[in-house]
Amino acid sequence: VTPSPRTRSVLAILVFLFFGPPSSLGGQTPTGRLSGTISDVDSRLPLEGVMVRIEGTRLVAFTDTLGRFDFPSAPAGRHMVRAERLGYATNRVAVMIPSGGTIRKDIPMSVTALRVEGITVVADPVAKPKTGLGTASVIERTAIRHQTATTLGDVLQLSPGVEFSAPGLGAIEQIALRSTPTTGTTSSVLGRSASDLAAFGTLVVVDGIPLSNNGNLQTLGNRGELFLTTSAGGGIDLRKVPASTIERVEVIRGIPSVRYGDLTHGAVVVETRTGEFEAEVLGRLSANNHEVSASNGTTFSDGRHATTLFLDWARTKTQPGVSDDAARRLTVQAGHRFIPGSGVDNTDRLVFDSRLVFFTLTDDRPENPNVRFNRSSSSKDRGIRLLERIDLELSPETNLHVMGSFSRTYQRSSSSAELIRSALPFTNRTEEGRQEGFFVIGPYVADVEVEGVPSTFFGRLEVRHERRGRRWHHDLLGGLELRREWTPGEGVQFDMERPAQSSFNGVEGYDRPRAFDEIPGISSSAVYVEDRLRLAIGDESLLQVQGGVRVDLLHDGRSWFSGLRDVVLAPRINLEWTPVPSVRLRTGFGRLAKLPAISDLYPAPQYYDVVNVNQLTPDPAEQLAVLTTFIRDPENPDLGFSQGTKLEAGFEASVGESFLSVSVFEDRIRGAVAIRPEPSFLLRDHFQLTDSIIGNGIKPEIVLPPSSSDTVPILIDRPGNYVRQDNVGIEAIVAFQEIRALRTRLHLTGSWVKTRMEAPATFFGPADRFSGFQIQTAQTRVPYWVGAAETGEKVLASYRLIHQQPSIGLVVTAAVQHNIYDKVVDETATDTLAFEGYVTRDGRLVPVPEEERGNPEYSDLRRSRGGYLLETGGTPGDWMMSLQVSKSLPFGGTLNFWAFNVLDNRGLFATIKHQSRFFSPMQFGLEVNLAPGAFLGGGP
Amino acid sequence: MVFSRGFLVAVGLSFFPICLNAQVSGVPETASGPTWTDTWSPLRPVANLPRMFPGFSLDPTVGLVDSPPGVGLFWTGGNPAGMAREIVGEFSALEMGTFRETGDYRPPLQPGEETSYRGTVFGWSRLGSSGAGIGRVVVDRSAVDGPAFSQVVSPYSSNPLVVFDTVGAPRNWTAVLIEGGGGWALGRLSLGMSAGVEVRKMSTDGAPAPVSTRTSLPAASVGASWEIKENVLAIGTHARWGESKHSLGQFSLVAPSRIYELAGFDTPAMHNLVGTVLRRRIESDGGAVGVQVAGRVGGMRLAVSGELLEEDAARFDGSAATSWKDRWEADGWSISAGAAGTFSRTAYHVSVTGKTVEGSLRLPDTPRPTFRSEEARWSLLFDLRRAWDAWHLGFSGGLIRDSRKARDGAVGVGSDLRTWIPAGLIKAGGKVGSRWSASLGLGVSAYVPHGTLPEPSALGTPYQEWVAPGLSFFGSQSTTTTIVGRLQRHLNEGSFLFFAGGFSRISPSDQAFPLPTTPDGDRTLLSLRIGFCRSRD
Repeated sequence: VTPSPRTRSVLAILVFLFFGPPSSLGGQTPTGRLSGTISDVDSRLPLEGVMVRIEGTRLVAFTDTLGRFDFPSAPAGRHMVRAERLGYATNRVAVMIPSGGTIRKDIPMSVTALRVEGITVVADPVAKPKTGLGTASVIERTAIRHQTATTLGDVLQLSPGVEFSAPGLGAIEQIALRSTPTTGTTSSVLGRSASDLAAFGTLVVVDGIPLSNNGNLQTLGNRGELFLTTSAGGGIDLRKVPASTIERVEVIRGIPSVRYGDLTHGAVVVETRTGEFEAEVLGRLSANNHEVSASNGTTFSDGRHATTLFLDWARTKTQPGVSDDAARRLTVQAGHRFIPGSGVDNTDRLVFDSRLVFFTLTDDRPENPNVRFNRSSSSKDRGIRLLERIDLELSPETNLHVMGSFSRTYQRSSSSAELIRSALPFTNRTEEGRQEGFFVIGPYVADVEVEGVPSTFFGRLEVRHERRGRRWHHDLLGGLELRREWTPGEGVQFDMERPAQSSFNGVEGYDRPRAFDEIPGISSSAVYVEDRLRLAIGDESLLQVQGGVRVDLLHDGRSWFSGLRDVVLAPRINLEWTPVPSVRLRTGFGRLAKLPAISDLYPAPQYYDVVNVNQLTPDPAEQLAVLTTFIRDPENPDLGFSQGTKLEAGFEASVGESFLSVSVFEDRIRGAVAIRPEPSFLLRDHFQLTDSIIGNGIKPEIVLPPSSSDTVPILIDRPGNYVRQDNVGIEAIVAFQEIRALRTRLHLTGSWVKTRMEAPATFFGPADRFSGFQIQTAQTRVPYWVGAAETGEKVLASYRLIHQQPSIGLVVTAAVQHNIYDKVVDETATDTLAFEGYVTRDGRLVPVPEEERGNPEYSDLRRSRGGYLLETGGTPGDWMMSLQVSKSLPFGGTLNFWAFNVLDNRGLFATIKHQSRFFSPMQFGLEVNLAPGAFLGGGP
Repeated sequence: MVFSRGFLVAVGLSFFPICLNAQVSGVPETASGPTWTDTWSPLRPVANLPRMFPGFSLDPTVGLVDSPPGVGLFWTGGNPAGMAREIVGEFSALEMGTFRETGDYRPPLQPGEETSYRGTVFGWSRLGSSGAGIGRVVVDRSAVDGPAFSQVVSPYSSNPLVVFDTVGAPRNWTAVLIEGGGGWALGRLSLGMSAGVEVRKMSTDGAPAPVSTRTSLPAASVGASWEIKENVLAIGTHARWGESKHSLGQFSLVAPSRIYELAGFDTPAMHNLVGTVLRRRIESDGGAVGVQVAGRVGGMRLAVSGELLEEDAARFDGSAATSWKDRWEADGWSISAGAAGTFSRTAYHVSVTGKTVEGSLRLPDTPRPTFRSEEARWSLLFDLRRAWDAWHLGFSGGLIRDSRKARDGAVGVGSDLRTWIPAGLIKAGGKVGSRWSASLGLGVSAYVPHGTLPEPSALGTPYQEWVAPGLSFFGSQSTTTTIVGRLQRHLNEGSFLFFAGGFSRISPSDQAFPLPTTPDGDRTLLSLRIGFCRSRD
């Protein structure tokens, strides 16, 4: 029986996988060498993963990351070479291979599925990240230019599942891919979204430098009464990356390469523009935003040197005409690329790439007597990022990549507000012990300043080795990462007689000023190894396997040699099978780990000021406050990585110029870091006074020893690896073929995401309930609850109707965000019988059996926990539309009009049947792109 | 014989019917262009007839459009399907202008002093062999320096739902209008659609009681036409829809302010704001269906169009309310006819338009309307041009009749104003050298109202302060004189740069027996514009 071709292919795969690549199958015919590069005809960027075949033979090659392919021993003579890649039109070119000689053939490829007339305004779902096979959207510069984007966050709106927002710097922008907000009401420690918690993270890499928010300490904590505009404790603020500098963004929602660590929710890989490009000037004007940017890239010395320069300034006023609140950003970026060997045999054996970025981001909310009296705040970040990358071609098959980066951000935040409180006893003691305090009486203006300098060193050593056969291609990768993050600075500073937290009740206390210099920081490292195999099966089929493992290490102390605190082994694998060029099937599994933030590793000591004597009299001379200060260290020595697993499967298919992509995923994160309130108690002494007569002008003194003592219950905010998050969902992208007669096409992205956050810890209800318990000495107990679970579910679609008139340079894009369904639920029982037990005044947890909770003796414990008591059926669908009209200008410029929420849909307000959903109000503006080089040079 | 576009471009003369200011011509204020270039706009008002202001603005056609007036299903009736056959060649214009309006002769809710900077891009073109497209973008930034009280875009329109404050702080308006459409011929059948949106934002700057508003006005139109006899007779029908969402908020946390909500002649709802924020929404929704007939008799192009109009508007408290507190319902009809051709070397364009709107205002708890109005406007406009070898002469003029009856049942009073507006504009121009040409125009118009107005003393103080002066203004005679000029530099075949300016003054002319609350003084408008036009057959 003769096996079928399919059976032979399967057998060939098994043989290959078990026994490795076969030896050379070269024949006796004369041969020559054929090599070349394959690039995108529009962007001229190299295309990786293109299958190149010499028709009539079984020779197959795959392009590497630089788009290169090589047939070292191809049969001499005239042949047709065929280049194929999903999403691109197959290209066939004739080539004459000389016997015993070498010929070079560069092949351009053009996109078929998504682009018409050279204008792309949507994310490209076909393209793959350069480093892997995981599900991704690739957003090229042409799409960014039509997106009216000020920040990286604005650019990411082209990805499935991301809601639209008006461009600008108006609010902190954080992202957590493949998750949706939950209620955020049952437990304040969970936040509402994964982006609110530093334990979760979408990695953002800019030019190879992983941005980090781990060292951001610009917060007044969860007990502060003053607020700062800060991304501390959450995800990276995407406003720091200007859209105008971006060349390409890979939004890796699936399983990323093992190159990427410190993440739980995917990765966003940003490349800024480099090399030679036309000078560009951009101006953007709207009622809220002003932005100007300029960029230029030049080469000299035969192309061996290339310099790039970016300048970007943007300002957003959040309420123009009403307040002077404004966010400002200035970015200056300089780059230099040096290729010593360029121009010689067209080989770039050694490449030096240097980048220097300086940026400021200010969020200023000055006092406005008309709107906000006696209240102001400001946050200012000034930072530099320095990067040096060296790529060395050790051999045609082996490359060495070395990079080092250093980034430092000077963060200074201040807040001022009038606090209105009655007379309260305070103490300025910074050590444990008892001393006489003082009274703060009446309203006062509290000022607080926070100054930190998050600094990061990141280094990478990586070797890439390629092995090629006639039908297979191995791409081996191994690397070592070193990372160190620390945050010196003056820290949190305020006048202790006018503290920024005055809800003082004698036991909660207020946190003291804290210098950041004493905080050790984080040292981490990682090693990884990965192989990516491309294997041609038959004439059209292609199998790709990318598998590797990464070992993340969190070190103790300040160095990489001071012992291990936590280790995570993170294997990752992606499989992709292309049975025919128009269909791609894929699946993957991977494990991820996210570093804990410095604020979680080294939380501030908690101060508890127990009031022993509180004699407030009209005569200041008779007043006496005596307080005992206790200090508790909430540090958790066992704290480690948050860990996640990702599992996904999907397929992509193209029919003609239409394209469909569907992905199903399940992400599970375990041990995410969050504050876990831990009950305990303090011993409070009571004293007799030497004089307690009011009005005699004599200041009393305490009589030792204490007359009595009691206990005061407290909660210690100790971080722990205990939060779980599960995300499941489906993503779909459909790009329909252009309706030629109308020059219009429809692009659709949709996602269903369900997120479940669970915190199996002990909770004590609203904060004021426990603080009341602390004060009311007659109260012997309050209830506690175990666990919090919240879910969010969202079905979100975005439709982009793109109309183009290339002859007059007109592009009209109507983008509709369709919130098909939203629902958030507190799964945790919140009824009055849901309590688990009670906590006593000495901090003991006493469980109450479920069947006894209705008994009369527990009536004082039957209280509502808080959160949504009513489960609704979800919020019905609603939509809003944004509009962008681009018109080409002479000399390569464009004029854009954009309007966000152009119909000013306000959304839905909460009813008894559903929750609310608000859309941001309409905004609109103009944007002008000019190419001064074309103008001065008399271009088109 | 029809006008040669190249001929008109070369001499730089354009005489169109009296191009009244935007409110009068019935297009959004940010649009600018001669009347016939606005009829196609999907954004033109539906069942709304903004008040005629005394005087007419400077000829907005100077430089922006140098094509002969269009007549047809599209140009006269606004049916986008007509584009496929009525747009020939290619035209594009870019204009930047500044406008300054000052003077005390104005109704109380008009800004005292206003300076605008406006950029306009307008063009049309054939799209392939069977299609044609048109588009316009207008960007306008206006700074109001004098007292400005109104928090709605157009306080003197048919819709009586007006909100204003008593602080009158200076404010800035930013508006963008963007509209376009396409039409395609499929044999004798033609289909077309047009859509547009106008967006506006207003905010005070450094005001003790800051005000901010935003407005979104989307609109769309679809149409079909059938050519009964090729190039001789065609019929068409179209439907259009327009919406307006206007949100306003006034913050008064320190300085006290008072907000009035006008709704007729009755004492308006009043809100004293101290340490709070007031938010209101006014939303409207309108639609129209129309039929057209267009044809050619000899050398004359003819078109007749009619539309049935309906529009609802409602005012809501706050930003969250879903039930209205005032509701305005209006319906009406419009008819327009145009004819153009050439007679004895004189090109002519004549148009007759008429529009009526009847509306009623209701409150949630009253079964019968509290306020009703009946409004109508008829106009006869003509445009004559004649060219000799080196110089050219044109005359345009017309007669407009505007009538408005209103009765407020709550207070039992009404008004009845009928206004006649005769107007004429003569313009002459000629070549200056080989590449330059210049033109100058002089115009005069009169505003002659008569009728009855409520006796102010019988009504409340808000009426006396804010409503009566407005009615007196519109009930007073006035005269307007205008002078316009343009200098043109020809670049190459069909394209030129232009510099244009104009001055207009409106003065009351019946000072012997003025109404008691008529404003004093006069009002002037100054404009300066620079632009580029290109036209290809």
